[in-house]
Amino acid sequence: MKFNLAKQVSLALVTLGFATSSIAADISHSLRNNTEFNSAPENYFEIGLAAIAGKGSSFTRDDEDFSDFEVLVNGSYNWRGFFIDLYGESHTPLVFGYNAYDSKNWSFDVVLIPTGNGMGEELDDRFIGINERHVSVMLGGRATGYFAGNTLQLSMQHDITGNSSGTSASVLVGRNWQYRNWNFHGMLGLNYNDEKLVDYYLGVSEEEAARTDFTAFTGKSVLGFTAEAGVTYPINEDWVFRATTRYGSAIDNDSDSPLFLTDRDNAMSVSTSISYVF
Amino acid sequence: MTIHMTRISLFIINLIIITIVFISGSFRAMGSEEDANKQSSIQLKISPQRCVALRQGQTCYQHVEFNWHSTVKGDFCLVELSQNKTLQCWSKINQGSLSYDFQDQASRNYVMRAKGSTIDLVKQKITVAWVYKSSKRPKGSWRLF
Repeated sequence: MKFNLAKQVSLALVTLGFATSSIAADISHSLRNNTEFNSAPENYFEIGLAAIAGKGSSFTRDDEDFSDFEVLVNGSYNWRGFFIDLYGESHTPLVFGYNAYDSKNWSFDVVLIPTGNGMGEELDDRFIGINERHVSVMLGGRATGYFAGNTLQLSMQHDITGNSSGTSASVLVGRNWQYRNWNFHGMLGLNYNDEKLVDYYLGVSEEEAARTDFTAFTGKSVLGFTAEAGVTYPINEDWVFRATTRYGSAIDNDSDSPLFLTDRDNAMSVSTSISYVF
Repeated sequence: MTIHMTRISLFIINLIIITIVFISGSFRAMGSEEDANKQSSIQLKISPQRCVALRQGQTCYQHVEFNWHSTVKGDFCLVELSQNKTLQCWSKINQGSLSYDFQDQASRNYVMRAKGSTIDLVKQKITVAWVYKSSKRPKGSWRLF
């Protein structure tokens, strides 16, 4: 889990989207672990250190460039079809789920995904006077298919807390390759966050505008594109090395929320990490 | 009488010859065991002995070096045990080495044998390990708890 909320929120909101990023991470996770079709890694837990650099929007930075060291926590617990996946390299890294169906080429999971909580006064003094945003818990399903070495994932979720009442959907396709003990993966995807979801986290109401310096803003639905490529290498039975590059951009987004101190229509990052697997 | 004495002499001579052959055979057998003992002192080292893949079931790749040394010169072969596959043989020498590109999903045993023999003189193992265990999910059915 990355403990840099500002970056998490900014990258997630602007380009990758809440739920999509976590689902992308999920497929990315299985891709980069080179998981066999219709198989799941057994329970594990790992903790690591990552170095990351890139460009992206931010609520708190006045510079689009960022670089940082971060603690990563990844894990997976599976029990009779139920699973909890924790994948720190995603922006919303926690996924609760139930694997309801598995066939030769398809599997279907029911998933519950808490999003990030957006921003509030605790994030920056700029947000004093802004209503605190709460977590959306996205309930939905995802279907994962395996075709000729490619993994295709379709998903849709809806917030069941009523906080945002938003809906998100995504289509992702990925593939992995093994060259000796190096495991490469690549992934492309489209994600969609509806107006309710975007407006809840990025909108500024007339009331908020009246008591702050922000201008009123109504969030619109966002269609985004994501791409990821990476490599994973087992240093030994306990240590894993990873390097990843990610890109995300808003394809259809004419809204520039005033909540951002630095605003970009795309985000990119390069990261490398080393993790200890328990 | 003379004929009888001759038969006794022949019997004694034959007995002596058989005894000599038996004793010399015994000595030869003892010598063979001694040779075998010498051969059994052959050493085999594999470096590294461990190959680590990312997940269980994946093919693991590792360049390894086999080094063997025997106290006696001879014809020896390095054999992969599960497939009984000879990787290389050496003639009339007491040490050798082989660079080998190990590629396998499971651990494998390697033995040194005298050429043409099926007796394992020494055995070593390349262990395949992994970071993430993997388990197959049940297929083809909906399930509800």
